[in-house]
Amino acid sequence: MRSADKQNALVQGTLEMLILKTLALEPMHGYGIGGRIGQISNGVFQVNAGSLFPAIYRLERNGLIKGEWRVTENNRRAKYYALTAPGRATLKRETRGWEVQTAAIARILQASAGDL
Amino acid sequence: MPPLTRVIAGLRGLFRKQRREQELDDELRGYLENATDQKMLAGLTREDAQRAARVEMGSLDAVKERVRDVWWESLVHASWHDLRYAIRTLRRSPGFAAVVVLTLALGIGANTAIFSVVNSLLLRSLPVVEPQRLVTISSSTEIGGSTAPWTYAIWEQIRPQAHLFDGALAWSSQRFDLAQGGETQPADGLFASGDFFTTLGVPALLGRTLSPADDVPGGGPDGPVAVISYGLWQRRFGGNANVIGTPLVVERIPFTIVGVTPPEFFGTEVGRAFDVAVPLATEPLIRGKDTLLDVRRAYWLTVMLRLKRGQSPDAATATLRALQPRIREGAMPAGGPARAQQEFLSEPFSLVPAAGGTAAAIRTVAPDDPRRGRAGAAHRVREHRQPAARACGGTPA
Repeated sequence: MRSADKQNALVQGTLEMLILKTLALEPMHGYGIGGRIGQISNGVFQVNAGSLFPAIYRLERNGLIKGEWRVTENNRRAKYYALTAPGRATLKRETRGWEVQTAAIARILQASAGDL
Repeated sequence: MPPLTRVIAGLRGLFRKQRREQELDDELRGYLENATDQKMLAGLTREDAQRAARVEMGSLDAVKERVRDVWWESLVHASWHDLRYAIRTLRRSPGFAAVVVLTLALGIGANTAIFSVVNSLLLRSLPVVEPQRLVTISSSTEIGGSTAPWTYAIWEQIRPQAHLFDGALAWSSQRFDLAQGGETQPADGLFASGDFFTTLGVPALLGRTLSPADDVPGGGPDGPVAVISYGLWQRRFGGNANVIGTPLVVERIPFTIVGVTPPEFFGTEVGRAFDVAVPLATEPLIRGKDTLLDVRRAYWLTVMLRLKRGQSPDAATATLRALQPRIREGAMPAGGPARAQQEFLSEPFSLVPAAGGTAAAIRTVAPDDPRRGRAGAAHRVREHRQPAARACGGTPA
């Protein structure tokens, strides 16, 4: 993934999960999604357009999000994306799976000889 | 999805691509503007902000290309799904699948075949000079019926009137055996009147074509002569120029080859080729006592006229019909019931364009074409129709 910027490489498929999460908070346009991810991660993840848009379009193709043209607060037209019902379900499932994985990985990484 | 919705979705898909590109453009432009706004808020000038936003985004085309990859992915994905679905469905009902495949195969095959036939019969014109001035004389009561509707006696009556037109010609297609002995060597032959080639406007590639002087019983000054086609010349004589003057055995009778026709001339019927043409009057040499020249009930000749320049088919028909009583009387079969004789006299001549090829097509594809029969049996002797038999719906004797 191109968003695998330097040392803060995103695990494959993680970007899509982050987009879903961002949109679960509120519907947003492409630039907003990228900015929000950077903001919440305290600048750890900088998502560029070349990664963001293919991910967005893939999610839309799979019916997890849905785009809609609206007028922004600056009076511009922008395509706002919102989560669909399957998208919500997917987010829930992936979040749980992610928690299980990270917990397991954390346990492994913190394991010491005494735990065996 | 209900069928109608599906159709509409499909139609919309045709226009979707363009709209999709447009939307992507709009969306990416919006993204750039937002990024620019953001950087201006951070204190950059408009130009600097724009430049910084562009640099951050990278190549616009590269971004679009990657989004298009997603579209492609989904197209391939969907097509693969459709294909697998189709195969599964067809496998579940192999009978139906077989019928569909067969129907398509037959449909495509039939179309191809019909086009080939139409192409060779209708779209090509006769390989002669100004074929649009050629007309075939037919008897109007037999539209599309008879393949060669005239007797030699009628031709003898029409021939002296050829000056009223730009010439007249008669011929009969025939299968000839060209073997000197032993195994038969069948060939497509023509009994042709002396003016046949000159009236058609077909010159000789080599030697000469037939002349009226050749078209006399027993052969003219050169004896029985034959004109061969380019095809036969190549096949049988290897294109040897010395072929002129050499003998050619036709149905065991020696003829002398006097000429070769050009390669593009295939005969007077589109869709059929000829190999050998001999004068009409030499027919008794070949058929012996079975000759049809004197049989006034033997209908075996096709007669064509070449109209004069500016002579309309209607005018030519009128000219011909004015001569009709004389022609008919001169060629009247002896005997027979009075009513049949009256019918023979009143059956009007009509002219059919020969150039369109349509008449030739009807003739060529007619299933009961008698000239396709064996040599010798390839003529038809038509009895006078019996009025009584016709009245009660019986077939003519």
